[in-house]
This record gives sequence, C-alpha cells and structure tokens, in this order.
Amino acid sequence: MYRRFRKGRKSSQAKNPPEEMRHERTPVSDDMSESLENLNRPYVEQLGEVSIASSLQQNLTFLNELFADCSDFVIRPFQIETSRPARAIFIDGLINSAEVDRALQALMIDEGGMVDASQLAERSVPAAQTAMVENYRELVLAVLSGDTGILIEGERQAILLSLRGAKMRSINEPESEAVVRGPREGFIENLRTNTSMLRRKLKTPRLKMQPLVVGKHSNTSIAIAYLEGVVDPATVDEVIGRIKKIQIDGVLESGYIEELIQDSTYSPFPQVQYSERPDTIAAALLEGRVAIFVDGTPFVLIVPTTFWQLLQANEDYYERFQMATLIRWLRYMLLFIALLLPALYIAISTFHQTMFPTTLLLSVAAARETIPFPAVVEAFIMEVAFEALREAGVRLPKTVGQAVSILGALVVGQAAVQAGIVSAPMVIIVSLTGIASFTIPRYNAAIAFRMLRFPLMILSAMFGMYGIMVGVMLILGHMANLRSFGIPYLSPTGPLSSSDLKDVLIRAPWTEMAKRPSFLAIKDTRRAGAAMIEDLDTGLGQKGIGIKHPSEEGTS
Amino acid sequence: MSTAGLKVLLLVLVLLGMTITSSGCWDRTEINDIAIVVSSAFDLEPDGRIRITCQMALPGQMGGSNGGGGGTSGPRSFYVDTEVGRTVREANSKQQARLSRQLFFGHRRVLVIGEELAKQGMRDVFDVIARVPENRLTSNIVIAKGKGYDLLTAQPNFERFSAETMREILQSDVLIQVNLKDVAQELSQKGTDPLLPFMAPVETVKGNEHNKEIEFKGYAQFHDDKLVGVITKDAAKGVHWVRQKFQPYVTTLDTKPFGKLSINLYKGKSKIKPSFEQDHLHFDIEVQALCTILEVFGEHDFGRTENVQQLEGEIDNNIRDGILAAIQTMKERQSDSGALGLVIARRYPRLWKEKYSKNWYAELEKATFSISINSEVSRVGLVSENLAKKEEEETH
Repeated sequence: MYRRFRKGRKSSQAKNPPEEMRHERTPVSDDMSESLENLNRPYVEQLGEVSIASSLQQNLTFLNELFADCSDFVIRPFQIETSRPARAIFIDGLINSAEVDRALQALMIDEGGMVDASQLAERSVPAAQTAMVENYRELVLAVLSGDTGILIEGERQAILLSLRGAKMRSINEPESEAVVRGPREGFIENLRTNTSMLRRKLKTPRLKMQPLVVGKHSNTSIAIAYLEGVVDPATVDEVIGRIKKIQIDGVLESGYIEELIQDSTYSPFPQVQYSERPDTIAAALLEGRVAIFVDGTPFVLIVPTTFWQLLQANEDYYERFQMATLIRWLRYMLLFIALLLPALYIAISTFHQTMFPTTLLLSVAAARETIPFPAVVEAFIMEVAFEALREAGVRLPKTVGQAVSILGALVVGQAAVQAGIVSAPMVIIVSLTGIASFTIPRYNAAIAFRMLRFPLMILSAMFGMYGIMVGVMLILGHMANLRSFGIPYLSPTGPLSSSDLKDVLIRAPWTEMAKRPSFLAIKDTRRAGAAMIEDLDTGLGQKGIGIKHPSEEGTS
Repeated sequence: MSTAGLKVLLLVLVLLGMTITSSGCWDRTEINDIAIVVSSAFDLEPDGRIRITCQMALPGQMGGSNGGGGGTSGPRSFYVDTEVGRTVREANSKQQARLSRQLFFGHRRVLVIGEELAKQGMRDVFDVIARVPENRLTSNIVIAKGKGYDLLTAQPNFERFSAETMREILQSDVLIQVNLKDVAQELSQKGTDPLLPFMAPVETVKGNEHNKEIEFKGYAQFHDDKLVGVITKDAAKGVHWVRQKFQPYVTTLDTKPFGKLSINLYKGKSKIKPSFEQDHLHFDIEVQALCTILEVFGEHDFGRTENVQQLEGEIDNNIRDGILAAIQTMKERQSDSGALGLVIARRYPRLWKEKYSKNWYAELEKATFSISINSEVSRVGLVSENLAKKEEEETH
C-alpha cells in the first residue's frame, strides 16, 4: 500500500495514515539512484535499507535533501592529505567543537597514503571512540545523537567520531528522594552519564546494559541493566520483549515505557518502581531486578516491582536496623491512615456514633453544631481543597508557591473553621491524612492511596463501616490479583514466603539477610559470605582479637 | 473490548449504581441530628406510671468552633426533659414528639433509678435496657435518694453534666463499681443481691448561687429486686470485706490510748470459708490489711513497737465492727448484699442446689460468723511524732 503511493507523494508525508507506522521493509538495493529517491521514508529506522554510496556527491545530495531546512545540521568540507575530498557532518550544539577541530586537523595533515576508511580511523583519528557504519540509519542516528560523521570520497563506509558535547545539567541531589544519610547524587537527563553512575556502584563485567531504541521520531536510547548471574534470564528476556513491542512516536519520559510495559493498565497501583538514585538502582539489581534507563529523564525504572517495595526507602538500609524497623511500622500505620482516616471519620460520625468515646463525641458534636453540610460533603470539600493546594504548590513557580501555602493555611485552615463552614475535627483529619500520604516513600504509591481514599469515602458515607470493609476487601482482592512481570504484587506476603518477611515486617540486620529475597526467581540467592555471617552471629558482632583497655577489670 | 461486552458492562455498572444509591444510607444520621442522652432516670409516679427523665447534652453550649465557653460560666450545657408514661418507651415517644433531634441512648453512661421505683422492684425496667442494642450494658447504675429527677437537674461545678460527676465518683476506687450487666446478672442469680451506689444531691453555696452537687451516700441494699435499705459509713466498708472486694479507704478511730487518729487502709484482702454446723451455716472471715497513719491528735510516738501493736489492735476492732454492722443489716433486711450465697454455690454447688438455695434468706439469718483480722501498720508517715512537739517535754 505504501509503495503504491510512494512515487506521487514526495512532498506530502504528513498525510501518511497511522497504519504506516507498521512500515514494510523494502529489500536493500544496490542501485544508489533508486535508494536515494526514497526520501519520503518517515522514520530514521527505515534508512537502514539505504547504504552509503561511494560517490561523495551522491551522499551529499541525499543528506542535503534529508536534512533540508535543518538549520542546525552542518556539513563541513575538508580534504584528507590535501587531495582526498571528505565531509564532516554533525549537528551544531551536540558536538564538542574543540575535540572535533583536533580530529579534523589530524585528518587534514594525515600522511598515511591512500588507505581505506577503517585504516584511516585506526591510524589518524585522535578520538577515544570511533565506529564504522555502512548505512544511513546508523549514520543519521549517530549524528543526531551528537556524533560527528566523516564521509570520504570513494568510501562506502563512514567514520563516526564520538566527540559529544551537548550541554547538560550537572549532577545534583535528587529532589524527589532526599535522604539524611546516603549518597547525594542523582541521575540526570543523559543516558550515558546515568549508566556511568551505575557502573561506578557496580564495578563488574557482570553488570550488563543492553541497548535498545524506542520511538519512531524521538529515537530514544534505552539501556536495560541487570546483573548477570543473579537475575532470572527469563525476566530480562521478558523486559526486552515487551520494550521491543512498543511502537510509539516519541518517548519523552520513562513514564511512557512504564505504561506500555506494565501488566495491568487500569490498576491504580504502580507496577513499576522508579528512582533517580543510583544507589537505589544498584540495590535493586543486587536483589535480582532489572533496571530500564531511558535517555532524557533522570527516572530509571525497576521491574519487577512488588507492593512492599514501594514502602521501603533506601535509607532504611543505611541507618540502624532498629530505627528502620520502627519507621517501617510507622509507615504501615500511616498507610492505613492515609487510606482510611476520612472514610472512618465519616462512617463513625454518621452511622456508628456509639464508637466514639463519649467525651470525644461531645467535642465533635460541639464542633459540628453550626456546620451546614453533612460530614461527607464536608470531607469532600476539605479533601478537594487540600489536593488543589498540593497541586498548586507543585505546579507554581517557587515564589508564588509560598503565597499558595499561606492562603491555604489561612483561608482553609482558619477562616473556614471560624466561619463555620467546615469543622475543626475535619481540618485535623484532612491534614493528618495529607501528612500520612506524604510519608509513603514512593510518590507513585502515595498517589494510588490518595486516589482510593475518595471511593472509600463515598462507600463509607453510604454504608458506614460495612462499606469500608467491602471497599478494603475489593482493594485487597485487586492487589492480590496484580502481577508485575509475573511476580505476585503482594509478595512476599501474598503467596507467603516467610523467609523474606524479614525485610518486610521488619528490617533485619544485614547479618540476618544473607540471602536474597526468594520470591523473585533469581539464580544466585547467597548475598553474604556464610563464614562471615557465622562469625558475626556467634559473636553478636565483630570482636576481633580483643583490644584491652588499660582500665579494664582484671588488668590492674 | 467488543461493543456487546461494553454494553453488558455498562448495564451492570448502572444496576450496581442503582442498588447502591437506593439501598445505602437508610440508617444514616448526622451528629447534628441526634440528641445525645448522657443519663436518664426512672421514677415511679404515685399513680403507678413511670416518669422518664433524660439529660441531654447541648453541644451548641459547649463551645465548638469558636472555642472557649463550656464549663459552668455560660448557660447550661445540658437540657433535662421529663415525661410520664405507662411504659418507658411510651414516655420516650411522648418526649420525642417535642424534640427536634432523635433521642440517642448510645452514650448513656449513668442510669438513675428513683428510690420509689427501687422499692417497688426494678426488674421490669431492665427489659427495656437490654432490648435495644443502642443501650450500653456497661453504663453505671445509681439509686437516687428521693427522685432520680433531682440528680439529673443538679448542676455540678467541675463537670459539664451531673451524669459525668456521678460517673467519675463511681469510677473512683472509693466504691465497688457496678454496671448494668453486673446488676442484671445479680438479679438473675440466687445467692446474691445487688449492692448499688446510693447518691443524693447536696446543696453547696458558690457566691450567692446555690449549687447542687452530687454525693455518694452509701450502698442501697436489695432484697431480690426491691430496695430494702441503705448501708452507710463503717458498715459500707464492712460490706466490702464481706464481698471480698477491697477498696482503699480512710477510717477515723477514736481510741482510748491514742485519742483521735485517721488511718488509711491501702491494701487489703479478705477470705471467706464456709463450714456446715448441725443446723446452720458458719462463715469464717479472714481479713488482712495494710495501713498507714495519716493523722494523729495528741503526742504519741509510733516509732515504738508496742504503740504500733496497740494501734493495730484498735484497727482490728474497727474493721470487725464494720463487718459485724454489715452482717447485722444483711440479716435484718433479708438481703444478701455480701454475696455469701455465691460463696456456697461456688464451693458446694450440689449442696447449694439441693439444700440452701430454696430457703436462702432464712439460712442467712441463722448463719454464724467468726472474724479474724490481721492488720499491719506498715508506714507511720514521714515523722513518727508531731513536728511541733515541745522540746522540754522530751527532756524530762
């Protein structure tokens, strides 16, 4: 179908019907003139069929037409050894000009005689990374990614110089995952920088990073990282298979990938964890998970993801285990508050007033005396106001954000109560709920619970406690049904795997976590040396040879 | 999803939505629409009808959104409504006709029964208490001196409602706590009679205002479900010993060797052993008590062992008098306030069933008691003598 219309449509590419996304491959043709006519190929990917011609002029015509009206595309003519015409092609702003200058200089004064391109690259190009390409897909993709392409008269190969120099953000502390103790570096928008940060955490050749490209127009680079020998190879295959299936015009954030590879599209619960911290990613890989790096975003995806994982912060493992355990319990409690508190308040105050202690009931009754709305309406007003304030605070410029918080605290917190529109207990309930939802370490998990709060409020307003129970059962049933890359979402509590509860109910000391979580199908379960663990267990810590203190008993 | 499947799903959703909207909310009541009854009183009218008095909280007067208020400074934070009916529920429904809010008994914490009704027998009113699930069986019960109505209209100084005052007093460790469930149980059992707190309003003067506070007077003694008398003072303490339920108390002795002194009994234990004589029952009451000296009039040195031992003897006598007084009233009023029947029933269930339960009050009257008391003054206080004792006296 595509080929039928091809000839008459050189200037009307925009009219391509969407099904053209599934393009047909034309056989690779040696006939250059035929290949170079195919300028209406919509995607770079399709340029794989077009080989580089030996005639420099033919290549230039093709490139000029391909990059017509691209003001940032530069073709720099020069001559190798003063006699051999060549062209350097690059995108202005994506290269490191000084480095490219040096490379070109080296080529210009080259005296190696007439050699072919690959020999030339080996002998005379002072660039750390060079590559030879034979077709336009690779050439154009590399040049668009910031490489410099060298086309030489009479060569069917182009040299790629990886002398990139695009401006990027420096490495900062990750804003969405601040810690008191722990590394303060966060990923940035550049894929290579991000993978290098991971590599610095795991200096092993077993850390594999498989490259993929997704997005017809964006051609976003993706790296799938995993620890060979730990990870279940089937999971890696599954991840790669799912990503390869993606057909979309552009991937601007890892959220696109997350939505397109998750198991259940319509679940409110995130089935993929993300993080902008290299240490979190490294820890996930050490547990046998797979990380997906996406170029252009600091957020790296982790699969498979289970529910409890979303309630664990990286700092849990950096601070003492007792404190981490207590904080985890606090989180679990606050999780219930974030999900249920407004619903419970509505249910108790409109159906089960006997459940209040008498004095509390009297206080609530006194506060509610002048309120014109039923408790549900009141709760909805406040919850919506709170969500609005939160959203306004996130979206607005920082200078205006302060005004929003003042308005919120003053108008909603105080004036509304004094005017008798909402009651003080409701303000307390809503603020408690808000605070509780912020203690969930993963923002996407917090969103799920914030959303589910509303249907529960409606249920509780209609059926009281019974409604809440039914709602919670439904949510629990849904969670038990969820899978993330084949792993049950509630693991290790879902299908109970009791040996893994030591990292869920509590955070056991490292000596007790010598084995990796077994609910993930992993190859190597041992994470700490048995001899060390035995040594630490018998001595309840490292005792060494025993250094005597001068004033110790029995030494006088 | 196919369009047919979508249609079915849509239909299911609509149906579900309809069931939810048409079935939910039937028992929904906002807090603003209930009249919270904190206490109610049952009295018997001369014509045989029942007077119901409800004390309801007025949340509007308790200072809500605007803060402050409440307490005794503002207008009253409660409202007392009373009505007469042939049954309790009839009176309630008459009351409801003039109330803008639904009577809500879920938070009734104190039930007051008037003296007259108690004398006639209070078993009937227990029916209405248990028949509605809203009523709490854990609420306290009080017998009022005179009309229960008067207890509810009293305006105590500390608490917002007299009900709260009564409850606080009842929950203090001065007296044995009883709730509705206990009383119902005692009424249904043979071998024990209820022993209920007996309370009366007393006038106090605050500036020019006359206030009514509520005071715990003693225990109401029952014969079956009928009030037969009130037991007070030392006899009331004696009942504690007989019931084997010790509550700390302060007693004041007027003794020959030491004059007046106040003793705090802070720890105690009593044991009752029944035995069978030829024609009557015999109870052995064994009492152990730990006391401290609170106040002494006159200059006595309790650092000396013989003084302490003598004092302990006096305390023993005081306890014995109390127990004897309690037993005396029990025999006179034909009321097993000490739950002695239960002692037999628990130890000798067969004997109790076959022999004693039929004619228990007569058996109780014949019963003899022996009391052995071992009290110990474990602490004499910070000083063993009066600080202001003149020094000269010590020298001669």
